[in-house]
Amino acid sequence: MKYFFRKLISMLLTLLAVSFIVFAAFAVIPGDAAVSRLGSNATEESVAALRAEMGLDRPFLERYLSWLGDCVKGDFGTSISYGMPVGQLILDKLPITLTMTVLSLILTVGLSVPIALLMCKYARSRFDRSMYGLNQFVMSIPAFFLGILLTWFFGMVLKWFRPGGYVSYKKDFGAFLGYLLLPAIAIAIPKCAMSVKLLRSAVLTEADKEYVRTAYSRGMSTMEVLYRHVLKNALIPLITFWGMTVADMIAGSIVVEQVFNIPGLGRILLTSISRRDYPVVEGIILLIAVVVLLVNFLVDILYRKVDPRLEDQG
Amino acid sequence: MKKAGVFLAGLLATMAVALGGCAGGKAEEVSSGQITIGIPQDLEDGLDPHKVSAAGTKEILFNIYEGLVKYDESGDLKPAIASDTQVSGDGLTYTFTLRDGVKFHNGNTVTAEDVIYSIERCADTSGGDALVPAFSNIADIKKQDDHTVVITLNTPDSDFLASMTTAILPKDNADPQKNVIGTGPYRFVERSPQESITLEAFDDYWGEKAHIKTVLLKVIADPDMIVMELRGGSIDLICRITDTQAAELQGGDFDVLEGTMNLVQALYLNNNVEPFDNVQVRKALCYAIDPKEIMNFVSGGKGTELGSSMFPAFGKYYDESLNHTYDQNIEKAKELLADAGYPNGFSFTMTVPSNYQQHISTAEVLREQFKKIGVDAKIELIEWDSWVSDVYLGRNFTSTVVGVDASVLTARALLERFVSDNGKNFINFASPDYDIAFKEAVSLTDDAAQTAKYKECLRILSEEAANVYIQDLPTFVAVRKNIGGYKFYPLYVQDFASLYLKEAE
Repeated sequence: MKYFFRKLISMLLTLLAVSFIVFAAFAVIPGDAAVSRLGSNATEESVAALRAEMGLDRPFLERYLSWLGDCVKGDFGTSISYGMPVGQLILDKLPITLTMTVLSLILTVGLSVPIALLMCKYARSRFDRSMYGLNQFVMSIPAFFLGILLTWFFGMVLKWFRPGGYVSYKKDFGAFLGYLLLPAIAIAIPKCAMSVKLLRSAVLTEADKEYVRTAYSRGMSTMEVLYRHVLKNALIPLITFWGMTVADMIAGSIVVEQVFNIPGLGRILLTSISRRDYPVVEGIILLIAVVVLLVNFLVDILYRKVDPRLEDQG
Repeated sequence: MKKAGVFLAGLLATMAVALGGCAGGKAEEVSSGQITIGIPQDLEDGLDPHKVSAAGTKEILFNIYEGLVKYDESGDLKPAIASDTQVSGDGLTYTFTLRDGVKFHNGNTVTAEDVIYSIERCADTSGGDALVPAFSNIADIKKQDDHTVVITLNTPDSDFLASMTTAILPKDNADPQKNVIGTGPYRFVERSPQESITLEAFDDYWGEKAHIKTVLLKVIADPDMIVMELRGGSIDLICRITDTQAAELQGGDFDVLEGTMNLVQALYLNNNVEPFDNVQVRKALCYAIDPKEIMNFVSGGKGTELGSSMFPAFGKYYDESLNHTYDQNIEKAKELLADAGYPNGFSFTMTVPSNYQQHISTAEVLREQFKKIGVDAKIELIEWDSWVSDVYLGRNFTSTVVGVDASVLTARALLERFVSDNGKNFINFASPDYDIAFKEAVSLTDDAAQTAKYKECLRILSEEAANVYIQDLPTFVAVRKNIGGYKFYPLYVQDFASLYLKEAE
């Protein structure tokens, strides 16, 4: 209980720091929402008037505190560009980024476990060694570059995929999933390679332990032993990695969304930064921060579940 | 192949709907079908017509909102919400008769109170300038009867009627940004930021109703995707594509139409900063360049050469002879530089907003052309927001390549900014002759005399080499072959109501 409490306090402090840094960044960079909206029709007076209307003329700290106060009450403000509540805007776009993340996570886990186990079964064979080499190579390709390659190959060469043909999830969920598959693959492949590497070494370490020999002595097949007994123990280090992966995928989706022309949270975040639409930027960055913190928290809990010895050290 | 099949089926379905609409009775009366139009950016400055300023937003809102009068495709003002306008002999009193039964998108009828509310909202000076500057000249506005609004001005203003294109909003709409209610041929349905905006034909429109029922505006943030999106069938029409894209689409499923952007592209010089405070230096730069060469490089030779702050769409004011004030003459340019005290040239910076490829390309050609007279021009790219705050508002620049357009279709909108004490005079141009000529032009009520005065203003800008004038950029529109009725306007608008789906052949 004490552990949870401490964790919660530190999470809140982190969020507070993040929100302050974002706010401060907007105070430092040139231009603001008023200038951005008026464009080449701006005069000194009209900018000043619009600033006053938007409340941008108040001192920095005062603005931050009033924004913070509203946040605590659950009001994340109104987007300057779109005139809609930030909460509603994020809810509208979250399914896109979330679906992409979940798809890539499924692909990462679903592909890496069987591949790693197969490599272990045939450890040090030619198959294992060539897969190992391929893995090292794939791991070092950034997702956005893989995205460009996939778009080119499936979009331009094979024409299985229409770049830019994004379909809203509200209109046709199947087509929406279909469009997100390729970006999800682009995100998943490097992560998958990383998990294979980690899992393979974890499994091989476990495989030398005594309980494994006992299992073999009971007449189980190699795959059976690996799946039933070894995997459970070998997954412990992977949980941390996958946890970090989720956070990384959400943040990384910003770039991948650009490559695949997906109007998700990443696109909104980028355009809002250039429009100096700070309520939206704050909202999205806080959301990402919350996800990262929550995932870390969940990983901690899972760890304790899997390995009860950690409980005393909390 | 499969994709093409699906698309064709979709197309046939659309046509079937269109035909069905025709078969249903009076073809003109029924709006049907759907098209998707690509737009380069979302409407990021909102949907309140009095407060938006981005040209890309205004051109869409043109379909949703209307004023008492509105522009047609030849740039003339025609009656809209007001069916009749009377101007008194002294040019001070405007009497507007409201058209019977004009409905807002929420079903309410437009009243004289709504008109007064809308104009007063834009004339309000409590937040600094009036939203519509011309409205600060209004002495009095009153309702004569339920159908008549009378506006009295302080001083005659021959351009006043143009400002009456200001959108009329319902007076009881507390938040026009959220509740989008106008009187135009299309009404706003919904939007998803950075993704799409849906418009639907307004059934109770007072005039000729839109032909196409649903217009979906799709945001295409990456210009490199335009051709692919057109070919793939996810958009049917898009404006302002580049010369290269137009060439790529030639001969396919699309008609490529050519028009002009209606803006004045120039190397704008800060007349307050050394060495451009010297008129001889400014002239030298004008002699150094060749707009034809720029046009060849930037848009395959298309575009219209300009010699002053006016583009040809304003037929009345455009003076072609000004294009020849400075025909390229390297020797003359060098002489002028020597006279001005720069026999070995000088170096300066051209600030260019990084989001406009055509301006960047132009700056690249300029740099080469200036080299020939020994002037070393550096190109500095900056973000658009920084351009607005530093270059435009801060006037903290040496020179910049941009296009300046007219916010309303009047000579005044283009020329007012060069009056020495004008707030929008970002180049710090100061010429007493110009100030006098402009002031006279504004005060004249006789059209011919006024036109002559505005032309004099343009000549002064050219002779004083206020800026290095280049061109009005060409623009291309790609329209799927089954869509007809696209109209070019001499101002920055897109008219969706005139579009229609052609019947299957």
